[in-house]
Amino acid sequence: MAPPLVGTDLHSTDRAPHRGFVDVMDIGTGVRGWAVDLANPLQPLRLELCLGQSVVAETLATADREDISAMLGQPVCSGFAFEGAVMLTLPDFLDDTGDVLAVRVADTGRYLAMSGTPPNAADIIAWLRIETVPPAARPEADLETLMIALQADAAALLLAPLRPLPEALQGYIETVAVDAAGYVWFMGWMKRGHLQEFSAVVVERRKSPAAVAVMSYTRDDLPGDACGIVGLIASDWRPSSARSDVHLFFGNGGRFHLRPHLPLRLLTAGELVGEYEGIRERCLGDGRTNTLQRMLTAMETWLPARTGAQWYAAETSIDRVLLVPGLGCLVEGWVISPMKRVEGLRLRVGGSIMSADPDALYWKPRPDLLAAFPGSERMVGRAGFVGLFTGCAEPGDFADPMLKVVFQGGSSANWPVPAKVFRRLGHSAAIEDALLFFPALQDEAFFPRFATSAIRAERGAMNPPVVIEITPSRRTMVFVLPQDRSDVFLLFEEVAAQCRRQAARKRTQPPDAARDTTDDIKALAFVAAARSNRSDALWLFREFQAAYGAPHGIACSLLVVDDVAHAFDLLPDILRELGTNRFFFAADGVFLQETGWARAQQALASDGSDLVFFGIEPDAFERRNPADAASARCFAWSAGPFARWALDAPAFMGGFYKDNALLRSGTTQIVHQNAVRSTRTLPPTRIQDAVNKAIYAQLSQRRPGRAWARGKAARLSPTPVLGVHA
Amino acid sequence: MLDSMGTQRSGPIAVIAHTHPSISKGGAEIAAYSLYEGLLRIGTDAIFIAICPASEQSRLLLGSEREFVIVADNVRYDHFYQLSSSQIWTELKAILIAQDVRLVSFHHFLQIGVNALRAMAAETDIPYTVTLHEFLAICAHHGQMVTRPARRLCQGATPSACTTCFPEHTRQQFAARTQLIQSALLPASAFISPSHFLAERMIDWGLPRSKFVVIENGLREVEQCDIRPRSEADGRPWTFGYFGQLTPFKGIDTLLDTIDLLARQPDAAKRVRIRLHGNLIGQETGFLSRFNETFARTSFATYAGPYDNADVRKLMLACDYILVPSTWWENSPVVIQEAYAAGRPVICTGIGGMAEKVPNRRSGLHFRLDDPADLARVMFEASDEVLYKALCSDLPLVIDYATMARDYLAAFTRMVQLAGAPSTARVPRRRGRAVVA
Repeated sequence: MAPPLVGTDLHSTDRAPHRGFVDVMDIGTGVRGWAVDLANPLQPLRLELCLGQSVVAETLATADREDISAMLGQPVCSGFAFEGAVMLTLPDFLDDTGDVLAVRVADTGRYLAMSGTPPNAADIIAWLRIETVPPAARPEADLETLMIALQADAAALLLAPLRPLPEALQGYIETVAVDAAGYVWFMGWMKRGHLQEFSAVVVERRKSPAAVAVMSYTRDDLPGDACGIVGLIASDWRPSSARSDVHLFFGNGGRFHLRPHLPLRLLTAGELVGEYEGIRERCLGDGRTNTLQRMLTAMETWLPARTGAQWYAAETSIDRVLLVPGLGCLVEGWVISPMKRVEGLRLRVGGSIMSADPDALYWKPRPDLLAAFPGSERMVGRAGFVGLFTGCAEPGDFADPMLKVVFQGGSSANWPVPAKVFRRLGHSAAIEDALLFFPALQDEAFFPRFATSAIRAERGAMNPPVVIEITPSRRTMVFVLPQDRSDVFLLFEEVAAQCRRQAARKRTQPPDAARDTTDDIKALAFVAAARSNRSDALWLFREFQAAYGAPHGIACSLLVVDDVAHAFDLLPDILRELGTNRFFFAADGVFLQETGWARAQQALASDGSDLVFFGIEPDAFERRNPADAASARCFAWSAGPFARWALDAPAFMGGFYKDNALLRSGTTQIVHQNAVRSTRTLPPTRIQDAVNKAIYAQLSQRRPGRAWARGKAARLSPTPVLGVHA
Repeated sequence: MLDSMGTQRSGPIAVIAHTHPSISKGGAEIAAYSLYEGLLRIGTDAIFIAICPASEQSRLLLGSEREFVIVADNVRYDHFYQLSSSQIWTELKAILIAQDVRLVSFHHFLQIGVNALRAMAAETDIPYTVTLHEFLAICAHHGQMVTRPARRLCQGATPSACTTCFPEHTRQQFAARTQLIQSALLPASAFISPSHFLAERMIDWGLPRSKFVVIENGLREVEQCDIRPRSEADGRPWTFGYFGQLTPFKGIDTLLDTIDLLARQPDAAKRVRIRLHGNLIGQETGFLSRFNETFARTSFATYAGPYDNADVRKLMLACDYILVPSTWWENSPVVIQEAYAAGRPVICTGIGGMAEKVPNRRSGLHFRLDDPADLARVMFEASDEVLYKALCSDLPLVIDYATMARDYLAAFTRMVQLAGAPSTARVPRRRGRAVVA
């Protein structure tokens, strides 16, 4: 039954005195609207944000709403708002996917109306999933936005009395350079404990509002409470001379300051980058360090001229590059440099500058180059290189790839890299391709980061499920259609056989007993894959639906995902489409045994929220640890708890690894041994297994809390404190 | 009320085949159609239902209104698990109910799909029997029990061994295949096999011995002819004829190698003539080149092209021996019955159904599998008047389609009545006329 709503007509004669409306309800804005008690319009109404019967938050309608006041002919405070942060707590209140989010007038049981349908729990989960997806790369944009905001905030400091008290001196600016974008970059040192981005005022004859961002590094010449800094100042101030007596005031009321170490070293942008390269390895990676590093290294010249290198005839070429979004690039190539030792390699792709990680760089012979460089046996003996170039390379930013070779003495030369040598993990390259660069990949120090990025690439390749047909049902068996065409036929036949048995059971029962029982199949959803079985799935589904769905009253649904391996990760979306509360899930290649069918129906019929695992029967040639019975490949659960779990769920290569951390959900598990069998238990490749193992191991290192909450918090809360990592 | 067979319906017996003889002349569909005609001949009401590929529909020629066709889309079939579109069962069920069919005799389940058999068992009370024509239930390689790609004889299928032939499938899939097909076959009232060899293989695989009946394929026309002794003085070469599809499984490679061997022996070539009759379709280019070259350079070997089955007796009479060099086990090749009906002994590979149907040195001679030299040796040995007469004198009788139909009807009656009552009767290993366990 629909809940009672309060009216919106301020002049109606409705006996109930409350009026109100929800103007906005979404995850970013929160909930906003107005509410007023006509019987006592000056008394702010107390309102409750409810999810089902749970009260998520309370607020008073105390904000000014001129439009409402104008309608009433007297000033009233009727506006209210539940901020967006409140929405992030909604998963804690999810019990039933049918629950809707609404605003209730406290102690009345009456709800405010809103335009459109109130979002239910499934919609909220979908909001949260979208909201908590990592933002697209271009962190510079975030930093630029922040700097503009901080610079605006600095206007307040202009009014403060700014005095360079000796006890408030926090450090020195030693070196400055101005880049093409107008940012003033500086190096120096300051005391620990300050924010990494802050508002400031630069004073050199006049006051200039400024925003400052810094990254820190360790310096042996400093006391323990100070650290080296590299930073940028966004303001209209430019250093005038090496004798500039400039002060940078910051902190509450501008009580702290930095001053220059005279004479101030004025460098070109390129020279400053060179200085930065000297301390790069010591820069600590918290906060926006990576962003600053990217901006800094982008100041180098990347013109494809062999500046300063031509006279000693260096040559280089890139054979292949594997772009790993979020990590960088694995690069294989060669460099011949007869005169100068190669001291560094950098790669620019679009706006990303990546440097070869010395810990992930090795050299090898390239005897194939002897034909081009006769008599150079010694040189070609270590001409080949393979390395990880770390940086935030993103496919969307792919343009004009360029290799920079830095030679002994600091000179460098750039070479264009042909785009055809690039492959992208998760798109045009499989994870196994990484082994061509690093045969012992899983033993490399960077492997955990690679694993995370590989998973991210796999997840990034997923598209939402496409609905072919949906028949909503509260309790649904979800079968992922196998990748193997023959197994798709087999699955439909086995489900059909079960429907035939169900029909036969009903035929043999007396008419009054032939009612639906808990053992009956009531709803089936099939998940096909666009990359393998979609066409067969379509006609087999239609035939099944005609032969067994409609005649036996079984709700049938068909959805399509890109790849069967994505089905588990997309299961929250699938369940939301199905509008199901309790579900049974069988992955690609999993088939229910006779006992399994009965157990599955029992699990579906349960009114609790138990998580029930179905153990896969090992075949006669297989030894399996009984502990592996709890597999995410086959289980039954309730949609609400599962959706909550999924918000923080890890992804694995191929979709599955052990229990996919379902066991961490903390709910009851019942394992039905040998309830299902599998027609495909082909082990993952060695590298896939290693990636999954690394991801699984990282789970135990996670701090409590949900990924979405952490992600949101990172965008909402203050930036990390400078130097706390030291 | 039960009829004489013990079924609850009074309509016809439905004989169901995977195709119609007007489209294809394979042994299984010919045997099925002969049974249908034989049942009508002996006064038993019958209908014939064939599955017809949509692409072959234009070639279809039905004999009467008692023949039905279900048109199937080839694409909607899975040859690994032998599963068909559910449309096959929907249409088949409609025919069976409309015709009030009292018993179904399935020949093969190819194209029909084991799901149709499972649905029939679950949704109707019509008893059914299954006549097995090869090892499709056991072997995914066209039911030939021959390995791939090496084409060696397979001595026994296991999930692990089968993955050697089909690495694209898992052993779990083979186990599932066995379980699925057995679940479709086991509810059958009876299994009919034209050979003991096939029956024993299927029993070893898991079908109950008590349900097996061995019934030889009957020919459309049987006219036992007198043995035509060769004149010792006429001096003409001995003629060896091959009849049937010209496919690798039929041992054509062996035969071509034998021709090459004989071609290198001018004296031998003068003593023999080899004549091949049959369809040469669907072969690889390499095989066709070799085939044509062989016949182009030899004068004693001739490819006579395709033949109408109505002429097979006449064509066989122009030969002295009939060659059956198959490299797979075979079941009960009709060509052997046709040879016996024409009064001609058979030279065959000494394995499987061929060895059973052609006792060595009684009604023919055996040679070693895929051994051209041994075939050549046996052909020379066979070129002997005394041996020839001895073999011709011991040829077994051949049954016609009406006799086969009577044997089937007896089996139907007995097995349907027995259905549900476990039997321990064994299949007697006897030769000759049909045997009912």
